[in-house]
Amino acid sequence: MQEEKGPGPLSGIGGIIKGVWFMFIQGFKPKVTKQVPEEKLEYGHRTTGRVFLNMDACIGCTLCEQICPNGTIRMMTWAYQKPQEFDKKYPNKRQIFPSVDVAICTHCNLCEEICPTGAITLEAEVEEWHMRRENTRYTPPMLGKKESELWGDER
Amino acid sequence: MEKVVEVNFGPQHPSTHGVLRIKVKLDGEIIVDAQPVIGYLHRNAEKLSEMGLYPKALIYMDRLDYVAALNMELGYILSVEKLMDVETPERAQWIRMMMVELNRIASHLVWLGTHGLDMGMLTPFFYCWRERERVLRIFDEITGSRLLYNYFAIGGVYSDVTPKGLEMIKEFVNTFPDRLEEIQSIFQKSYIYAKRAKGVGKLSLEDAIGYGVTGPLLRASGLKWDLRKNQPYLFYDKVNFEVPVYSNGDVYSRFLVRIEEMRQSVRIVKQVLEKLPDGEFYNKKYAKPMLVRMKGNGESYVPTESPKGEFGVYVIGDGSTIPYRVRIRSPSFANLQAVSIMLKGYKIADLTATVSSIDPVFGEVDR
Amino acid sequence: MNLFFFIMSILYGILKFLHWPLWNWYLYGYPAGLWIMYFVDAVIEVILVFAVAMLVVVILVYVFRKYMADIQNRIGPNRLGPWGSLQLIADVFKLIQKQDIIPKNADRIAFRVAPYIIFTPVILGMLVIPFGNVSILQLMVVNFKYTLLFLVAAMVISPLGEVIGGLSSHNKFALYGALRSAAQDIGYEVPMMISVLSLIILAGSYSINDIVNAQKNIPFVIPEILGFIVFFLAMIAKQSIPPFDLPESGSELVSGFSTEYSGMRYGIIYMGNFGFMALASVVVATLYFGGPVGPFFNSVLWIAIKSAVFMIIFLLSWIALGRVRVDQFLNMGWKYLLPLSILNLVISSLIAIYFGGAF
Repeated sequence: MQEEKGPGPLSGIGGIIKGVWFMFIQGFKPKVTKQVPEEKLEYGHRTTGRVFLNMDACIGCTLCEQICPNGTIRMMTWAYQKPQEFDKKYPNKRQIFPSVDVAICTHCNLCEEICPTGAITLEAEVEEWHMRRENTRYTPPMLGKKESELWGDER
Repeated sequence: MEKVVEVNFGPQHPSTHGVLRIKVKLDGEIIVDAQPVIGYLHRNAEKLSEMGLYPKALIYMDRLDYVAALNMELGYILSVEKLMDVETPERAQWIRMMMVELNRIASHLVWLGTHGLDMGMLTPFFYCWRERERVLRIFDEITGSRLLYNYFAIGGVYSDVTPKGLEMIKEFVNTFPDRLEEIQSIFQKSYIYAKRAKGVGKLSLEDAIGYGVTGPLLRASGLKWDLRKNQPYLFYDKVNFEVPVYSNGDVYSRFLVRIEEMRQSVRIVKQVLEKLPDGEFYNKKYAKPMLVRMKGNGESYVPTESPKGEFGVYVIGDGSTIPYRVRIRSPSFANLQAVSIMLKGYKIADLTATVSSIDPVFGEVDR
Repeated sequence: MNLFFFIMSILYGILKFLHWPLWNWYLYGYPAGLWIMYFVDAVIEVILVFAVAMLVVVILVYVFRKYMADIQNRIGPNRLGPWGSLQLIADVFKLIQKQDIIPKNADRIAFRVAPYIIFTPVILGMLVIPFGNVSILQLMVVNFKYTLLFLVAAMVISPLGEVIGGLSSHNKFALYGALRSAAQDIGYEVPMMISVLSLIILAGSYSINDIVNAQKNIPFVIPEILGFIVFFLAMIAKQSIPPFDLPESGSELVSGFSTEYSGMRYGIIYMGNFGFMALASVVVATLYFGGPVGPFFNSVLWIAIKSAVFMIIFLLSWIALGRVRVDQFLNMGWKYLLPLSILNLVISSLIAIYFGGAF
């Protein structure tokens, strides 16, 4: 059990002046904020920005649909002919692939954790915001492309 | 003639920490009666958790106390692991401990900054945010998110600590105590703050225990009760730290308790950095497809010490992959009940000081 | 704003009326055209002073934002113009465009008038400050015998605007802000008046010009250190900036008396606060540090330097300090500041009796 000691009137007023002086000194210290468009931020190796899909590796197991907490991922049928070597290694007989509504995705990373073949990943695609986004539910081929490839560089 | 004025503080008030509404009856500047009204941020977290698989419920735990999300995850994960008898690798336990303590520092920094704002100080808020930003950068490096992590898995953690992350933690731990000292002296040595905080919002020990108040509020009222010491979970019995206790039960004591807790958290993180063993960070038995097949049977409750107080999740499993019942014991909800006896007889200006000293986060109160 | 200029010109006209021998003109049968010319002149001078005051306010707001950002390790406004200097003008345009909302049950006339009342002392006070000489031109708009009394009377106006605005808003928070403003006003004004009184005793005159001239050798802060402390704290309280921002108190009463104000009316209150900060720093520099009088040379530069230092001190107080409780403030005002100022009055009377020739 500790007793608390507050400052008395004299030392307290001295403390006020000390606090003001400390802040006055802080005025000459370097700034910590960054101007984002000019200075780029560094992202960690796991920073989650948007869902990406490698269609060649997807086997259509629907595990990601089952684990997705808020119905962001829905499987959809998509006629896509994989290259020969991928078809042998990752067969997708039902031709179903995940489609993602990027607007309601919460970046929980569970789909990446559960994907048995590593087809679905979350990558640091965070600076690409677009005014001209026509649709937020991305079809499987759209999930393979970057935002600038999809909607152009105009913002 | 009736002299009492009834004023609604909130839910749209700049200093109610979210959406708290307090119906205050005022006689001049003096508070005659204060009743908290909650429920403006109700999001049905318990029932939503009962609708999905066991790992899915974790993201709702993140959104309870969003400034200390890893602490919330820990309460649920420990409970589920006890329910399923999951063996967790040692390294994962140590990593969890480290991350939870870092998150406790971040949460207390948020509290300190907003407490300053409620006292009318504009600037300490930014110093606290500057330090918290460094913690969030560490979390961004290790977990991949800054606020809502979804990092603790059943049977470990989802990703290992990277060498760069360890470097960042080391740098933070070495420089943070000095910065904290500076921020603390702005508050503690100032006569204005001492006059505002001392003897305000008093909560006696009997009332605190009677209302089920836990966490820093209880320790500021004079009871040495910290679940990390009294009922150790993880490896808290293998590290050295002290539990700060003050006896006055006012805003000033709570301030001192939280400041000292940040120091002790730094101490724990330093010890974890020394003791961190090599090995697996994730029990591979529960990886990949097992995430959708985990079944729980029985019931379990593991109390943990979150920054706000005792947090625990009571989970009942009926043998399926979906929890039958998830009941959340949230600390701010219990602490907030005591607000009306803490406020009676004080001035309006003490209302913001007292409410912010409870440190309520409304994602957790309303669930 | 038309109403504002109208009121200001009438006030200014009365002021000039006091110190020019116009009665004689009237008696000797000067034509009515002269009166019209006279009021046109008054309007022009008011607009000039208003423009200068606005310029000071603009600079002060910019400095405030940048300096606050510096202290908080931020960058501050930096998008519009060089180093963000046009940000304030953009903000003013934004405020003008906004809808002017007046609450349904508010007292509409009082609600509309209150912001101008808050802005009034900035201009009225600036009229009587001697800014020094530029060659033969004296930078002082009005000079008569009782300028110090006029200055104090003008500065008392702004809490009146706060009270009127708060009471007329029909809002409980605004009501509390108004009541606090009234209580605070009484708390610091009596000690402030007494410390001003001791200045008058020392200088032996009611004129600010004479007070400035009396500080040629020793500035009044040295014999009047207690009075200076009282006056300085009263000035902080009068601007209602932290630690004494009780009428606004952003975190307790939502925004105090200005809760219901929006758009340009809020902008005028905001500018009034900053204008009063400029006025307060100039007044402190003039009354206690000799204004334009200083070592090496007497010029307008000295008053600029002195008041800039005080502006920085006021800004630091705003940025760094927390808020006191209302009962603590009243305690301070009545229990400590009032005895201090009376002690100071006694000391300065003794000085005036025994060392009267020094000043």
